[in-house]
Amino acid sequence: MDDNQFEDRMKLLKKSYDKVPSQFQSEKIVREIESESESQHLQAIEYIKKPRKNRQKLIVWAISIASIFILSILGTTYFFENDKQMQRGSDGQYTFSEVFEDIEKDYPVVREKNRKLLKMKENEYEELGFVSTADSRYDFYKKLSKDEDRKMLYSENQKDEYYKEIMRSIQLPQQLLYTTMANETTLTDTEARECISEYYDRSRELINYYDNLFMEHSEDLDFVREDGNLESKTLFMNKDKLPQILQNAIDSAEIQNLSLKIVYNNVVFGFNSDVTTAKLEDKVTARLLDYFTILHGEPFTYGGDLVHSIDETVFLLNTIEKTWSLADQQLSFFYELKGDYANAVYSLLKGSNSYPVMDATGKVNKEYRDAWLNLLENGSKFSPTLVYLKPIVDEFEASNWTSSKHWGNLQFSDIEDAVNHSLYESFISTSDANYSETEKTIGTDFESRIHSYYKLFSKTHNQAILKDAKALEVVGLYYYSFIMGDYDTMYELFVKGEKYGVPSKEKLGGISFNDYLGKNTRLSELFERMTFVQLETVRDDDVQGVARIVRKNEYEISLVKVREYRLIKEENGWRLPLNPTK
Amino acid sequence: MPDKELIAKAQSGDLESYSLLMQLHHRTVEKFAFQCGVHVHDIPDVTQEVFIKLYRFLHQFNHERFTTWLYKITLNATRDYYRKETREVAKEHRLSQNSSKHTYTPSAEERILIFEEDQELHIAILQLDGKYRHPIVLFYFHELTYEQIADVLNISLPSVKTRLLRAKEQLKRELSKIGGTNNGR
Repeated sequence: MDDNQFEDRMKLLKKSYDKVPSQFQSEKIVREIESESESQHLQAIEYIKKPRKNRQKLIVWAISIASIFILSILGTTYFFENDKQMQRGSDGQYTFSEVFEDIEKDYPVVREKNRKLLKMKENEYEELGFVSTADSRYDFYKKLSKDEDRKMLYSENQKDEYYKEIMRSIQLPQQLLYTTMANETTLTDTEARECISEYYDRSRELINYYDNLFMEHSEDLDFVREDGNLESKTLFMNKDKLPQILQNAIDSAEIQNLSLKIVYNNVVFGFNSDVTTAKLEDKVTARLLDYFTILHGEPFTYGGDLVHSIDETVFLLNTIEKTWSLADQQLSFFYELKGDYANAVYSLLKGSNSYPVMDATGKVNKEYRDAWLNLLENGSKFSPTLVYLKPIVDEFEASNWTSSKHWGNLQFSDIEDAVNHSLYESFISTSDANYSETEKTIGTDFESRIHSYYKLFSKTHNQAILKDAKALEVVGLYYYSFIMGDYDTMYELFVKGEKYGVPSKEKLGGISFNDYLGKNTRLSELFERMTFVQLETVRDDDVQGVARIVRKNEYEISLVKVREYRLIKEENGWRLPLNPTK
Repeated sequence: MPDKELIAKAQSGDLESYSLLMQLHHRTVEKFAFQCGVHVHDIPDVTQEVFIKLYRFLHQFNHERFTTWLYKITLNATRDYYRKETREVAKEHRLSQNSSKHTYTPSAEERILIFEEDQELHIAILQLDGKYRHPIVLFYFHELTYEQIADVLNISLPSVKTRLLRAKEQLKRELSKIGGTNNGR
């Protein structure tokens, strides 16, 4: 067979492959994605919506956003003068126009200085999230300063606060670090988390910008590729031959403690932990500083394959386990980190195309074996590895490393569940929570209480009925309504209010469930025991907590029997966010 | 709406855009999975697995990386599929040994590749070792460049060229053995 004949056969076969039937249902996949990630996603969204500063700052921020949409319709006076916090300003001596004078003088100058420092064009710079937010705030203040109807007066302190707040909002990551370093005292953990989050968020925006820039200029790097491979050493040696825009990006990223890495022949930027850690070591506790070591290791996976060596990955996973705590869930990247951990573990346990787990003889490769054992041995008392990895290693060891049922059945969600379980266990053991509930056994007593609540509440959906209900009873009621197929009552148990993002019942269009429960199912058949712990409340954040349900075994193979429900306390008692399970 | 825009929207949590993105790319996944040896009736499961996994990585990639990762993740999903499939085949084998009735029905694969020549070539490709099969599938049926194949398979450019060459040699040899030289439609 000659080359031409071969090419023809391949062309014909290619055409025949068009007949591969499709049963693709995007709706089904979307439903799966929603049920897997909605809780996590909503938590992240809620975090963004939650106040991260003191009340005054929150109000300024809320007004700033609201102004974009509503200011022109209702006018500034309504918002401003109806706000109790702002009314305190009436004891002061400055009008808002005077408050704004220094801001108007300095903000544009600092903004421009920072743009030049980043060596960006204005259209690129103004698209950075923190810059556009700062600009919106500035524009809003400017409008307020010109509002002649406003009679409010502000104290020296308040004037100073406005100035500091807006100037901080335009700071680059490196400048944020210097501001933190100038603090005379060590930050509290809550302050440190806010500071780290702010630093991370702004750095992440720059990283995204630099990553995209290098991707767009991928062809400009061809001259430094050897056999298609890109090495950071060669890239740096030829840096002065790169287009100016890429040279600028490398230089400005370095100033912001961001370093260039090559991952699978692509340029990506990441955190430089050494510099950052050194600058903050007197101000932030060592445990929280370890997050920078973790961030420095990002990305852990690339398209499902491990980026680092197996040993390095184990080190990073161990560091994550020793560092993270449920108390840190206010960190803006906390949920993303949980996902990154689970992805790395999944790749470490399942192997890759280039380096499979099993060797030619059908045994687990020694490097993977050692890595798994290392991960288990160095894990903390509450390590998630005890949940997802121990059964796998036990089975493999018993079969001379040839087979494990748990390994074969391991799903990504098993790792996520184990992580949540571990974080919760660890948190409970160290928490001095001021409110908790326990239902040691789920029996007729619990069932009859839930049934009574259901009878009362499902008829009218009068929220006041549940004002004194325990958090665990609300969870029980939610599940009971589910069993009854009463989606309206389930909907009424969601926390209300714009910031929680619960859409209208019509828009929600029904709630997606796994319909494996029959109407005769009893709660006592589903649950073994339940606990609830209220989480630490940060300033004016919502009062919230986590209910943890230990389920009865539903399946033959189930690594984790725990489900967690997040609850938020509102004026009529405990309620659930949309899709609260995790 | 171009991919780039859909990806950006999906990254910001817009599942409708992700749905559109899936609509645009699901055929690639389905065909690639089939070409890697996934049975027709398992393609929907593998496709679902791919798009769920892809969604998890959504925050990490841009337009250029999207297609590369689509192939990477499909490859990983087919690898998981093989593992499960091996167990199932073993189970079926045990069951069939206990069954006295054997009936022949044309496989779903045969219904797709109705020409014998296509079936032979398809089987020959599936019999190649994965390190030769994947480059040849990506090169001939998905028209990826050498560089793109290197990226998807995490191998160097020279390796791509060598593997393609060897895969072609093996396939030609195999087809000659079964009389492929003279076959036509």
